[in-house]
Amino acid sequence: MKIYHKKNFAAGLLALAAGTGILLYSLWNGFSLYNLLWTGNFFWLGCKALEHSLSRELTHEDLVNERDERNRLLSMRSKSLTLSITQYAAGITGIILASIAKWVEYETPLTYIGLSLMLVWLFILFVQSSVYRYYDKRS
Amino acid sequence: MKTKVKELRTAAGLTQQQLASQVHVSARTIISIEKEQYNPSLMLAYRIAEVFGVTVEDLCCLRENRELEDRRYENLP
Repeated sequence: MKIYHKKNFAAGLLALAAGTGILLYSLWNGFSLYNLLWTGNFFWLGCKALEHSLSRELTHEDLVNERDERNRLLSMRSKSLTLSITQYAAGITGIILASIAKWVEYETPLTYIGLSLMLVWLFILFVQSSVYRYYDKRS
Repeated sequence: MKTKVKELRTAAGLTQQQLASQVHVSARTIISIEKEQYNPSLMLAYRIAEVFGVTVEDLCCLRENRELEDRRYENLP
């Protein structure tokens, strides 16, 4: 037996361990549908990842997909768009919540959530500009 | 970007999957190139051109695409 894809193999083992953990927890504390679903999911994912990591053909297919230039571009684009959406959603929600707090003129949990979201927005802005400067210098 | 990938592949009697395997990309990438939704990297264009025995310039219709791009720049405000 040869492991062709170590990352997939480790992920498979981790998923099986998580499934076993939930199963043991259920044995100890009683079964619920929610726990059974998670156990089933983890076992299925774990077995699938192990099967892929131990098969030469499936590993080849996985590596081609991982290294495929279009897939990498799509991954970068989707991450970039996700970051932009998160950034603007945090900023706008933060401003709305802070405005509501100002309007009602007393501190509510919304005030702190709003301020935290505005901090998240500023943090993303700072990290983004730092990373941009880093890559700008390197290339 | 317009390319001659579909034309050359059909003439060579290759399927999208067969071409994809020869140039080490997924079949979806070949489909996207043929649909002009994705522009291949220089290395991928070179690999595909090698499979069909043509130059990258011919494969990617570079002269035609450059003229199209020039026209777009001329129309810039």
